[in-house]
Amino acid sequence: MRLVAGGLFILILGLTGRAQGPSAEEQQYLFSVLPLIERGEVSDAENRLLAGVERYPRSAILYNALGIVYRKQSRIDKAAAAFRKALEILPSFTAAQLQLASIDQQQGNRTEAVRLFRSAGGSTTNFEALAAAGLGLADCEDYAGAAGVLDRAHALRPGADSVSYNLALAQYKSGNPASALESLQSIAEAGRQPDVLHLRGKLLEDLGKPEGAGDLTAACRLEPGNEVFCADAALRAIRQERFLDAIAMLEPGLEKSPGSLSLLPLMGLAQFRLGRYRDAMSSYTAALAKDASVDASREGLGFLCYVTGDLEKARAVIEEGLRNPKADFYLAHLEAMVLYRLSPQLRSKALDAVNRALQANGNFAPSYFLRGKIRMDQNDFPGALEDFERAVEVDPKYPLPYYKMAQTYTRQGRTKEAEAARRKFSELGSLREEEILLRQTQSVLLPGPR
Amino acid sequence: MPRGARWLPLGTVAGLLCAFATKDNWPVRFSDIAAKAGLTAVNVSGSATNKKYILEMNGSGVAFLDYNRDGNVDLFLVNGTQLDRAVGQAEPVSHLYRNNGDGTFTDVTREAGLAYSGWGQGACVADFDNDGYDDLFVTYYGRNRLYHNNGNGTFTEMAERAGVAGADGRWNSGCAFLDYDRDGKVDLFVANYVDLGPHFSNVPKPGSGEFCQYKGIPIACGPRGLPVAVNYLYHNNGDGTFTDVSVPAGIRKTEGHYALGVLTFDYDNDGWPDIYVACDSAASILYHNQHDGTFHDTGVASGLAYNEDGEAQAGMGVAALDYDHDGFLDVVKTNFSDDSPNLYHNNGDGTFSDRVFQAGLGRHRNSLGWGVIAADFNNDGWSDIFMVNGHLTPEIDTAKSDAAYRQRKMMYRNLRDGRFEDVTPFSGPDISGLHSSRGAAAADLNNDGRLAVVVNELHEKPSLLAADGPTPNHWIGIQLIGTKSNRDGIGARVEVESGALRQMDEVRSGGSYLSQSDLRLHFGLGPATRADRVTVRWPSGVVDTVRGIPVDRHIVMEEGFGIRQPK
Repeated sequence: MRLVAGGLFILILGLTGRAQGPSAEEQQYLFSVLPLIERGEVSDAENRLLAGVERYPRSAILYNALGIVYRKQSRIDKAAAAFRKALEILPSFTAAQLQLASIDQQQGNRTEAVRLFRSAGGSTTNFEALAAAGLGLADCEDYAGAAGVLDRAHALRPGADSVSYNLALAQYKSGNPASALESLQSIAEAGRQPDVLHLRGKLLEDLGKPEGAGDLTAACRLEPGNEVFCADAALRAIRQERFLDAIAMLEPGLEKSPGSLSLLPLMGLAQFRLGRYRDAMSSYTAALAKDASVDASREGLGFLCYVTGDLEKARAVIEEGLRNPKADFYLAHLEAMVLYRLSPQLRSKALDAVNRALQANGNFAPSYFLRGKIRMDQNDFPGALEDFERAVEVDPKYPLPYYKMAQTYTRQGRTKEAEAARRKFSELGSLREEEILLRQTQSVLLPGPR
Repeated sequence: MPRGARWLPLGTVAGLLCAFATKDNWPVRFSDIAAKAGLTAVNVSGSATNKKYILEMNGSGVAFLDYNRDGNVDLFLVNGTQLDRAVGQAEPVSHLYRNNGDGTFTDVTREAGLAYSGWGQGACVADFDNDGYDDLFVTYYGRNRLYHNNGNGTFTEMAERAGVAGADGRWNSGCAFLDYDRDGKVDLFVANYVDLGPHFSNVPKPGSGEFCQYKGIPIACGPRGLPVAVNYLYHNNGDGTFTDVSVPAGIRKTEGHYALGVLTFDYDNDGWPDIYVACDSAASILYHNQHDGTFHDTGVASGLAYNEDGEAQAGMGVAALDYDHDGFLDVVKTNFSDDSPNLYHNNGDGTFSDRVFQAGLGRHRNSLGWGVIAADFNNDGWSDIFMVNGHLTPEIDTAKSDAAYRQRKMMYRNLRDGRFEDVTPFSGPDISGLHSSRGAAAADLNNDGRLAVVVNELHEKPSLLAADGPTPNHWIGIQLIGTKSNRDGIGARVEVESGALRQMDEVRSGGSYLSQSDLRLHFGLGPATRADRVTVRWPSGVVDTVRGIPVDRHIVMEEGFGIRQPK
C-alpha cells in the first residue's frame, strides 16, 4: 500500500498563525534570499539568513527559512534547532510545525511528530498544509488523525485526486472501508489509475463485494510488473481457485524481479494448488535461495514435500529452518507431522516437536490434534483425549479430533462416548484432504499475519 | 490354524530374503496385446470431449469369467453409451470375448445374447444358482442386468424376474456376490453412487455451482452437491429370485454414500464375510457381518472410513491382500488426485492403520486412481499392487496441471518388509502408456502362472497387459467347487504353505473398480517346488487340507473331497 504524495511542498511563507504575523521588513528580507535557495546557492542563502536573524532576532519566518536551508544541506540537527526557534517565537507557525514534524518522523520521534502534524492540521485552513499534515499523520500510522485532516482538505478541493486517494487510504487503514469507498468515488477516471483500482478492489473485498477481485486484477493488468498489485490480485485468484489466472498475474513480476520474495511464495502456492508440484518446489526453492530465513517459503516447500510423500526431503527442509531459534511455530508443527508420518519409531521425536510448536503457539488446534494422535498410538488414551478436547476447545468447528475421540473411546470400550463423538464428527462434517490443505495453505502458508 | 489367530510376521526373515531384490531383477515386463488378441471394441462413455454429466466420466468395469467352462478365462467388457447419438450410429454395447486359448479372443457378444446397450457401469460374477456355470451381473445407470448362464454358450437376462433390476434413474455402481448368511447360496450387494434422477433431473449444469469446478475449470457437477443414493443387499432365495433385504440387514444404517468400489472380505477372521465400500468424497463403509443376517457399519471405529486423520477421500477402487503375511487381510484403496491412495494395515483387533506413506505408496499425488489389483505378479509369494489411473475429462488438461487426463498405470512390488517399490519403469513400456483408465482386473489367461491385466480405457480400445517371458518363480492356481457351500466357493479362505512361506487369500466376487478378476486364486511360491499344504476353509465350515501339491499348475479343490482334477 502506498500513499500518493499530494504535491510535496516547502512552505516558507503565509502559513503563519493568525497572530503575530511577520513584519514587512522581514518579508522583504526573506524575498531577497529566496532566489538563492531556488538556484541551490545554499551557502550564500545560509549566510544571508544568519545575517537576517541577527538583524531580526524574533523573525519566525527567517528561522524557518534557515531550517529549510539546513535541511537542504542535510544538517538535520541544525535544521531542527532552527525550526524549534521559529516555533518558540511563533508556536502556531504551521510551516515550521510541518517541517519539524517531518524531521521528528524521520528520526523516529513518532509521538512528537504526530503531535506537530495534528497541531498543524488542526490550526490551518490552507489546502496544501492540510494535505501535507494528513500525509504526515498517515506516514506516522495515525490513520484516524490523517483521515480527519485529509477530510478537511478534501472538502476544500473535492476534485484533488491525490487527496481523495490519500483520504480513502487513511479511512481504509483506520477501519472504515465504506467511507473510503465513498471518498474514492470522487476520483475521475478511476478505472485508468492502477493505484485507485487496487485500493478500490481491496475495499470492495473488505465489504464482501465480489467485484473487488476484478479491480485487483485490473490494477495488476494496468501495471503487470507491480509486485504489490499483482501479489494481491494473485492471492485473490488463488482463493477463488483461479490458479491459472494467478500464475498469469505473477509471471510478469517474476520476469522483472525473478527473486521477488513477495511473488515467489505465491507462485509456489498457485502451482501447488494446480498440481504442478515440481514447479511449485522450484518456486519455493528459489525463494529460499534468495532468503533462507523466510519461513513462509520453507513452510511451503516442507509442506509440499510432506504431502507428496517425500518425507525425508520434507524433514531436511524443515529441520534446516528450525536451526533459526526464531523460526515460526508452524515449522515445528510441520516437523512433528513429518516425523509422525515417517515412521512409528519416530513418535517420541514427533512428540518433542509438537510440544515445541505448542510452547510457541498454544492456540493452534492442529498441534493438539497431532499430539493426541501420537499419544493415542502410544496407548496413552487419557492423554490423547485431553489433547483432542483441547483441540476442539481452541477450534470448536474442527471435526477431526472428534473422529479420533470416537476411535479412542471405542478402544476403551466406552461405546456411548464413542457414539457421541462420532455423531459430533458427523455433524461438523469431514472435509476432504484437499479442502483441508486449501484451508491450511490459505491460513498458514499465505503471507500475512496469522 | 483357526481364524482369529495371528501368524508371526516374517519381516526379519523376509528382509534377509529380499536383501538381493532390486528393480533390476523385477521380472515382469508387460506388453499390451489387446489389438493382437482381438480386443477391438472402443469404450463409450458419453461425449469424448465435452462431458456434461458426471455419468460420462466414471467409465466402466471389466470382468473375467470362464463362461463356457473350457478352462480358459473369458472376458466381459462393460460399456456405456451416449447422451446424443447421431442418426444411423450403432448403439454401443458391452462385449463378451471368448478366450480361444491361443492368445486371441473372439467377440461372442451377440451369439451369447449379451448385446445390450445402456449406461453400463460394473460387473461381478458368481454361479448364483449353483448349476456349475458362472453367471454375470452388470450394473447400470438404470436397470441392472442379471445374465443367467445357460451352459451352452448363451445367457438369459433375468434381472427383473430375479428382483435385482432396481429402478430407472438409479445409478448402480460396484457389485459383488457374497454368501453373507452362509446358506450355500450367494447373495448380491449392489452399491449406488448418485441419485441422478430419471433423465438427469437432479443434476445442475456444468460449471454452475460450487462442486462444478475443478481448479477453476467448469466441469460436470458432482458428486458433492448431488443427491446421495443408497446401497442394496439382495438375499438369494434359492429359486432364481432374490429379496431386497437392505433395510432389515442394516445396509441403510450408514452415513457413507456416493458408493463405488465394493470389496467383500472377512476382515476380523470370524469366518463371516464383511463388505467394504469405497465412497467418493464421503466416509467409506465397512459393513461388519453380525452373523444374524444383519450388518453394522464399523467404518469410523475401524479406521477404514477415512484417512488416518479422519479426512474424507474420494475412494474409487478397492482390493484386499495380506501384504505382510500376518494372517489378516489388509486393504488398498485408490482415491482422487491431489490425494494419496490408502494402504490400510489390519491391526488384527478390528482396527486398521493407514500406512500408505510408510509403505511408499503415497508419492504420486497427481494420479487419479481407479482400478486396483492386489496379486502376486512375480510369483515370489508376496502380493504386489497394480493401479490404473486417469482423470475425469479431457478439459482437465486446460488447467495445465501435472494431473493430466491420460495417466500411466503403476506397478508396486512388495518388498516383503511392509514397504512397496514403484517398479513401473521396469515393467515394460506399455504399462506407461497414457490412457484414462477405469476398470481393471487380472487373470491367468494362458494358465501358465503369468497374470495378465485387462483395463477398460475411457473412449479407447481396452488394454490387455500380458507378461512377456516365463515367470522365474513357481506358482499354483486354485479353483474351488463348493458342494455344501456355494458352488464357486465365494468367501472361502485358502491358506497355502510352502516352506516358511505362508499365504492366504479368499475367493471373492467383485472388487477393484467395478470389476471382477479371475475367480481362481493365484499364489506365487518363489523357489519352492511344491506347496506343502493347502487348506481351504469353506463358508459351510468344512475344512479341507491337501499336502504336497506339485507346482506350476491350476488345481481344482472340491468341498469335502480335496483335489478333484489337476489341470
